[in-house]
Amino acid sequence: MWSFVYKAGSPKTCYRFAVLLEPWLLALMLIAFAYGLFAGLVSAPVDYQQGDAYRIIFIHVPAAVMSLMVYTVMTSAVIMHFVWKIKVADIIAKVSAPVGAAFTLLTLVTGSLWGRPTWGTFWIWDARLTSELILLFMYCGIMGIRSAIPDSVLAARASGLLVLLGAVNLPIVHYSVNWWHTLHQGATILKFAKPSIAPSMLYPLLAMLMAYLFYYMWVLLLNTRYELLLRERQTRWVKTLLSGGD
Amino acid sequence: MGHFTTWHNFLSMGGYAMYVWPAYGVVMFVLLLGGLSSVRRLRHALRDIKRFNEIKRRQHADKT
Repeated sequence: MWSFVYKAGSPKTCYRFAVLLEPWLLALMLIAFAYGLFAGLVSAPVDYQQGDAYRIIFIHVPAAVMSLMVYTVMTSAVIMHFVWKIKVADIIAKVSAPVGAAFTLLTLVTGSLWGRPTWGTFWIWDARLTSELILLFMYCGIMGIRSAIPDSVLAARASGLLVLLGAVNLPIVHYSVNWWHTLHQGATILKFAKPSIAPSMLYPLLAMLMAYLFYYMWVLLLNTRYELLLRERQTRWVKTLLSGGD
Repeated sequence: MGHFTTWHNFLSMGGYAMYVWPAYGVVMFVLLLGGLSSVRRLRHALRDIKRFNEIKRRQHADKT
């Protein structure tokens, strides 16, 4: 069992795994985007209350889900790195932060563009919006602290601690719509009940979520390979990898 | 399929074009930028390490 874990977590195995998986993830991502965008912008019927402005839902809600999911992955990676000292886990934590920050920023921007025609304002200090903004600051702080400390071991530890500290914000973001009854609406899909949305609108939404998920995995693998190459360039496996053929 | 009958109809998004299109545009722009810069960075790293190894190998060959 443990030898398997160490082998699976070895840089060489991870690198080869990433090379193998990348083209599939890219293809799945493109298919999901193509379907999601077409179904969301063209096929889905117009909303009887919000008109076509509601179509922002197909890019906004999946981005919000991803902003929390990436943070969850990052938190798990930090725990794995702290407990078992798995190097690749630290790399996953490192390369997840910019993707998570991007999804958080996109959540705020698309939400604001949706809020203007439906709520009448780009921004309000609503509980959900405020906690999502704090999430963006957490991502920025996590990336900032890592790049500010020159010693890589110390940098990983400091940013990891910040990741664990910021994880407190995750349930706050998720449950903010139930705890404080402010402007943002409640959960539509991520709840223990039937989703309160029509199938013609649910499918494009799920397709876009899959597209974002594949995107995250694809970029994660690309950047993990980059970090592995950089950290392991003196090792024999990198030298043999780059000497033969391509 | 859909309720848009003309291109103009589609592009005007029922009067919400100024909100819908910028939202989709910024998402696609950010994701594309992130993806392309990741690919480029990896390619450059592969090329640089390959070059470095080649130079070292040649230096080693010259010495012996």
